[in-house]
This record gives sequence, C-alpha cells and structure tokens, in this order.
Amino acid sequence: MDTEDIELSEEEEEITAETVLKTLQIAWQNERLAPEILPHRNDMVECMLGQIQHMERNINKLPKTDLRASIHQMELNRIKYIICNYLKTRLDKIEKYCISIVNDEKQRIESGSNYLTVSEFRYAQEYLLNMENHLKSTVLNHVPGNMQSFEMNKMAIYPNLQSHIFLKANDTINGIILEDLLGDHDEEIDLEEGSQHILQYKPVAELVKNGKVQLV
Amino acid sequence: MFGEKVIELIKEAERNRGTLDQFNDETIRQIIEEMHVLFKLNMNDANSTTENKSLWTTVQVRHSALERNKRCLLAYLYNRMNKIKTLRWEFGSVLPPDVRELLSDGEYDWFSKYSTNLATYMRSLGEDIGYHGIDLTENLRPPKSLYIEVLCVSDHGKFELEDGDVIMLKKNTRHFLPASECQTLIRKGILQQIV
Amino acid sequence: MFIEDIRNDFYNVVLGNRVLLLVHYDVDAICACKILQDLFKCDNISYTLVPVGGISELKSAYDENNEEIKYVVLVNCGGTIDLVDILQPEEDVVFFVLDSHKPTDICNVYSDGQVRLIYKDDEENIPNFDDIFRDEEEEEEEEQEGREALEAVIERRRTRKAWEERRHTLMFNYTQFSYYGKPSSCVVLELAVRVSRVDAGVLWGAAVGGSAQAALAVRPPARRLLDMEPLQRHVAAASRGDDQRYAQVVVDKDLNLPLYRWWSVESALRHAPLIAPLLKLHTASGNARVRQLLADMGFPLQQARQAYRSMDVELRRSLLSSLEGVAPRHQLPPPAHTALLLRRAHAPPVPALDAVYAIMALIEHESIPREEGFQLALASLQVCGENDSLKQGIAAAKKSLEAVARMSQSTLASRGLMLAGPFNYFIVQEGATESLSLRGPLWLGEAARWAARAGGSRRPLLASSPLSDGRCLLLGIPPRFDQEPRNLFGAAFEQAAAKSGASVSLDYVDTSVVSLPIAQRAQFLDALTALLA
Repeated sequence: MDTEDIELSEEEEEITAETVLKTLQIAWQNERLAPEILPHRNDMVECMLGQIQHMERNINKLPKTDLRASIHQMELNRIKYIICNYLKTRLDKIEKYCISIVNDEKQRIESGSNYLTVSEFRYAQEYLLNMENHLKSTVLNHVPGNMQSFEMNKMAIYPNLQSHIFLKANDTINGIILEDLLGDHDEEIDLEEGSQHILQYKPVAELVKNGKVQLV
Repeated sequence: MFGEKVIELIKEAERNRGTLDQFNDETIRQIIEEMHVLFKLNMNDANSTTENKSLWTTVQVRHSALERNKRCLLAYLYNRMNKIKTLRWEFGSVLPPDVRELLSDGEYDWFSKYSTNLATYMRSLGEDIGYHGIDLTENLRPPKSLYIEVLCVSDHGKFELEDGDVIMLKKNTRHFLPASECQTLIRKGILQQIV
Repeated sequence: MFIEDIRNDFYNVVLGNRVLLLVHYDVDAICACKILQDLFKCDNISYTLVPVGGISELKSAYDENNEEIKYVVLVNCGGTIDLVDILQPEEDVVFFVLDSHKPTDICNVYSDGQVRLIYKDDEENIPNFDDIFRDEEEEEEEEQEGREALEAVIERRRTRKAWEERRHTLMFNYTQFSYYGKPSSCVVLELAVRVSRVDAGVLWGAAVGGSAQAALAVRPPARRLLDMEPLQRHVAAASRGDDQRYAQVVVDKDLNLPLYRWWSVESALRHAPLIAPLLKLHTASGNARVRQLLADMGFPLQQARQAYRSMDVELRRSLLSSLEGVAPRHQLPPPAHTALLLRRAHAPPVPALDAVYAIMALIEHESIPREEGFQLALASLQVCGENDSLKQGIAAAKKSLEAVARMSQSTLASRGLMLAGPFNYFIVQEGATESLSLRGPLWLGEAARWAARAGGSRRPLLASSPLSDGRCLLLGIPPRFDQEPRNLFGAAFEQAAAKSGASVSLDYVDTSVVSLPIAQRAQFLDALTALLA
C-alpha cells in the first residue's frame, strides 16, 4: 500500500505514517483472527487519526480534479474503514464475552496490564449491567423464588482458545509446548523466522500479544 | 407435558435467523406460569419427601424442567438481544415504527440504554486529539470506489452534501455522488446502489 | 451560441462540478446518456439524472433540481424551445444542449453564452442575426423639422416593413419543417474519442443510437450514411486491436428483420416493418404470399415456424442469401443491410436494430411506468454481464410489434384508413386491445409508418390513439418518409390548434406529436384539413 509521498515534506513524518499504518494493519488482522480479545493499540489508533487530519488538510489544498486528490481520498477512506472495523471487532468481542472479559480485566487492571482502554472497559461494564437488568426485569423477577439468580458463571461465554489459526513467525522462537489433551505426548516445537504454520491458538497466545508472531 | 412450550419459543427464534419476530409475550407468560405450577408442586412434594423417598425422582424431574425452562427463556431473550443489536447498527438509534412494534417495552428500554452506551463510547473516541468521536456505524463496509451511482426509490426531499450542494431526492432520479455521503441513505433504503 | 471545441468548451468546463442531466424519453437520448454517464463516472463528475417526457416535465424537473447547480446538460430536449424564456434560470446557470430535434430555436442560437449548443449541423440554414433581430433603439430618433423629417420617417417605416416581411419569410422557411439532425449519441461518441475513452460500451451506445434514426426513418438515407461513417471507422479501429475481447462491436451484413434471432422466421417476416406491410397481410391473399415467399426461399413451413435457435443449422446459414434472392421476385426491398452487432463470448450476437426495438418497448411499455422503463433501458445497454433488461425488452418488443402489425392489418382490412382531403388518417379505437401498446409516440409512429407502407398511396398520414383520461395522441408522418423525413405537421398543428380552439397540448419535444381531448379531435382535424388544403 503506497502512502504519502509528495505532500509530506519531512522524511521523519513519512516513515512514521507508514509504520503506523503497517502496525495498525497488523493489529487489525490479529484482532479479527484471534478468538479472544487482544491488548488494545489505542496509541496507534490515535496516531493514525491525527495523520488522517493532516492528510485531509493536504487533500483540500489540491484542485478537485487532480488525480492525486482522488487517489488520496480513496486511501483515506480505506484507512478510516480499517480503524472503524478494528474498533468494531473489539466491541463485538466485548459484547460476546462480556462476563469473562469484565472479570479478567478487573484482575488485569490491578496488575497494570489491561487489555481494554478506559472507554472500552466502561462500555463493557455498562453493557453487562444493562443486560443483567433486562434479563432480570423481563424474566428472572417473575419466575419462582430460587430460580431468580442471575448466574454469572453459567451465563458467561468463554472464547474458544483451542481454535486453530494460521500464523507467521516474525522471529525465531524456540520451545513452544503443544499440549496433547487426549494423550500424554506433549510436543515441543521451534518456529523459524518467516515460517508459516497452522496451530492451536492457546500455545501461541502470548506470542501474538507481544508481537513475535502474526496471524494471517 | 412441561418443557414443550419453551421449545416452541426456541424454534421460533431459530426459524428466522436473520429477522426479528414479534415479542412473544403470551408464550413467555404461559411458560412462567408453568414454572410457578411446577415450583408449587415441587414445594409440596419436597416437604413431604422426608417421609416418602420415592417422590425424590419426581422432584428431580420437575426441578430439571424448571432449570430447562429458565435456560431456554434466557436463551430466547439473548437471541433477540443479538438481533436487536444489529438493528442499532443498521437503522441508527431511531427505529422505524413497524420495527418498534416487534420489541416489547422491556426490550425497547434495553435498546435505548444500549444505544446510549454505544453513543457514549463512540463520542469518547479520539477525544484526546480533538476529534468529536467517530461514528463507527458509518464505515461498515469496505469502500470500493470514491463515487457511486444511486437510484432514488422514494421521495426524500432535499439532501445536503458536505461541500454545500443541495440535491433533491425524488423518486426515479439517478445521482452520482461520493460514496461516504450515501451510506446512511442506502442503509435506510431510500437510495439504492446501481451496479 | 454554438461551442467550437467539444472537449475544451464542454467537457473541461463541467469537470469538477456537479451537473444536472435532463434526458428525453427516446432511444437516441438514452444511448447518448449512457455514454455520457460512463465518461462522467471515469472523471468523478457528480451528476443528477432526471428523465423528462415533455416541455412541462422539463420545466418541473429543472425547478426541482436546480439548487446550487451551475451546469445543466440537456439531451434531445430543449433545443427547439426558448430555454431562457421557459425555464427562467438564474444568471450564472449554463445550459449545454445536445438536441437532435431541429430546427433549433433562434433564441438558443443567438444566446450570449447562457445556452450553449454542443453540435452545429451544417444542414440547418440558420438565418443571420441581423435578419432576425433588429436594434429597436434605432427607431427612436429625434424629431427633425419639416418635410425632410416626414420623408425620413416614411423611409424608415418602409425599410422597417420590408425588413419585417423578410424576417417573416425567413422564419417561416426556417420553422416550417421539423426534422432530425445528427444523432446525439454519435456526437457524444466524438467526445469520447477526443478524451480517449472509447471502448465497446461507448461504441455500442453510439451504434444503437445511430440505428434508431434508421429504424424510425427520421433521417434521409444519404445523411444516415454520413452519420454512421465515423462510427464504423472507430469500430474498425477498435477491432484491429487485440481480438480476445469479451464484447466487441462489429460491422456485418445482416437481415433487416428486427428480432429474428429471438423469434421464428415466419413471425419475423410477418412483423418486419420494412417487409411485412408489402406482403399485404391484411388481404385474403396475404397468408398465401407469406407461404409462397417461404417456399421460394426453400424453407419448409414447419422449420420457419420454429424458434430461430432450434431451426436447422443449414437453413439458418442460408437465410440471408435465400431471402436476398427471392426479394426482387416478390417486389420486396433488399432485405439485407450493413448492420452493427454486439458480439459477446457467451451469448448470440445482438444486432443494434434489436436493441433499438427493445429500448422502445421498455420506455413505452403496457404495464411498466415510464420512469422504471427508463432505468431498465439504461441497464439494457450494458455490454458485460447477464443482461436481463435486454431480454425483458426484447420480449416486450415482440409483443409491441405484434400489436402494431395487428392494428395496422385490422385498420386496413376494415377500411379504417380514411381519406380527409390532403391527408389520410386512422384512429385506434378506445378499448381495442392494442391501444395499450400504442399509447406512446414511438410505437404509434411505427404503426403509422406500417399503415402508410401497406396502404400504398403516398400521402401524409395521421394516426391517433387513446390515452388515459379522455385524451388522445395525434401524430403525423410525411409522405415518402423514408426518403424525405422533413415533417411539416409541427407547424401545421400549431396553427390548426389556434384556429380550431381545441385545447391541444403542444407539450411534446417532437412537434409532430400532440395530444388533445378526444371530443375535440374531429374539429381539430377539420381545421387541419382546411389549413392544408
């Protein structure tokens, strides 16, 4: 994907914009393909939004019929779509796994490694509260006594960490342990840099989160 | 036989995966009544079980039926909740009246709260750098081209574009407009994209 | 005013701005519109497209859509009327007019830049400016004393009167006949060539538009050749490129039988506007003549009645040559002509002639409203993809052609073709089954031409068919219309309307078509007879 060339005069800015976009793209891809919610990249999102403002200003300086204006406008539309889709995917996951995410997040906030942004966490809590109230008021308050509890653990949906994903390794990684749930034979494998594999998500979850591998 | 009514509900939910049906108030009421009946029977029997152990299985069965009913009811509601959520992304926060009828009052309350929650979240996006929020419902589909050709299928009246031009949207007129501006109207069904 | 350079003075001017496109309901306009749309889409020119059926619709469409619009492009409408007067636009709105209806209104020609005519036809004899407009201020001169003053005044009045008489004659000659100029789709083709965006779609649009002029007999044959010559040149140039193309427009010799590939040979012969009237199917011996024709061609009757595609392959191949061979014997015109066909990889070739009839049927359909028919017609000009609208149009065209044939035959058989002094006329009765198909000017004109060819005598012909709500459509065709299509009925209708006092609506862009209440038809015809006698 070609990005700014003519309008951005400083070398530094040019590199930054391109890397930001690349990082955002990888984050978006990972988020869409991973079964659970990943740590947020809000810094990238905000940086990209700033870039968009800059680019829009530049486009408005060009005459309307210039080919460059159309191409840059399309580029902008694509970037906006990526950002919106990234955020929406995260919202969908939050809504689906809300109980488990809210619980896990509470623990993670205490240790300082939260996956959700502040707004997202607020959204998740509010969503959970709304759902609980709705179910209670429509059904649970009307059923006989001992059935009235909103059983969180039973209602929660947990992401399927055993689902398989395609991944590409960015660095050489040694010593990933693949559990064998049926038998006893745990395997240990090494990943070469640049190689592509299909594995279960669970063993490589950490590697996805710290960027050593990338989902494709 | 208990547990049958609730299957009807589930079947109804499954029958139309994509669309939302009328909130089945009647059946839900009947199921809850059934649950109360079962519960009362169980209370009576439970109190007498200490004497007569043979009633245990009956109690068990009834209790399972109760659990089942509860689970299915909640599943029905949850299923409807998901469908209503897609409504918010499709129609925006104001529902057309014929859709509004399909929701029960409780569901409509929940919808309003969901809508507000979503709006608050969207407004908070990018507030650190001076954006007034991003509307995530705008860019639901990947953009194919800058401008698209649309046919107006019903009268809508005047429509203002970003650069100040005003277009009169009358039935059977065709327009060639920037794609980003048409998205809302296409979703509402006023404009139809021509391929 | 006329613009000099279609690319710089028209296309480059509208680049980057929003345009209002007003398009008339006829085949040529729809084809031109399609080509223009493709060009606009390539350059991201935002536009609003509104189809218009007549002058009042033109005015209302303009009034509704004219906010913030600086450029209005009119296709096949607005050339023959005084635009500035009728539309009352703002000062800075520019109208680009591409109208093949002639004569162009004088005020449009001599407009000072607000109305710009895209194409100048050489065949128009436009009077000079000084012969039409005279500076009125010259009249006001200070009084001089004495006899010289009196003489000068008399002299001025005399020159003035001479000038006015001359003006009157010039204007009368200029507006007497209404006719058609170069098809708008061919003009837009030239534009596409200038901006180097010619592809199969553009060529097909121009081909259909040009063929429409031929099928509807609105251009003399010599001019038709001149119009089509650049198109054939471009088609040849395009086909010299790579030959592995999905869709290609080719020039080939083909039968002048509309829709024969989608029909059976016998039906095609019975409904061909050039051949069938001459077979005099309304007489008792008509059927025998058809059978004789088929027998001479060597086609068994059973084969001729089968759908074309299920016919014997050898018969299909020999159709062209055998029909050509037997035509002279039956006093038929030569059935073959150079036609433009659209060859596609997956479908049988479509002749432009068939597309013309399909579009006509779509915009004047029995049940589909005009606006929807317009959208379908635009879709049917698509070159790629599965073209359902074209199929729909062809099916509708078959029905309409059948209705036209039936109508003419029943009229002639029942001696419905009446003589009235200088012209013949026939009337489609209300409640006749075909009246629904013949409600529009295009198909009614087709029926009139059919009756004229079958009737034999070459006099001007009027046809009338009922519309809804008690009104009827009336149109006139000149005698010998295939050689000399200049139509004087436009001016005649206008004058007869004034004389007879009937509430005639002169709303149609083609002035030889009018509508009036059925009750007043007789008196209008009387006035017309008196006028033309």
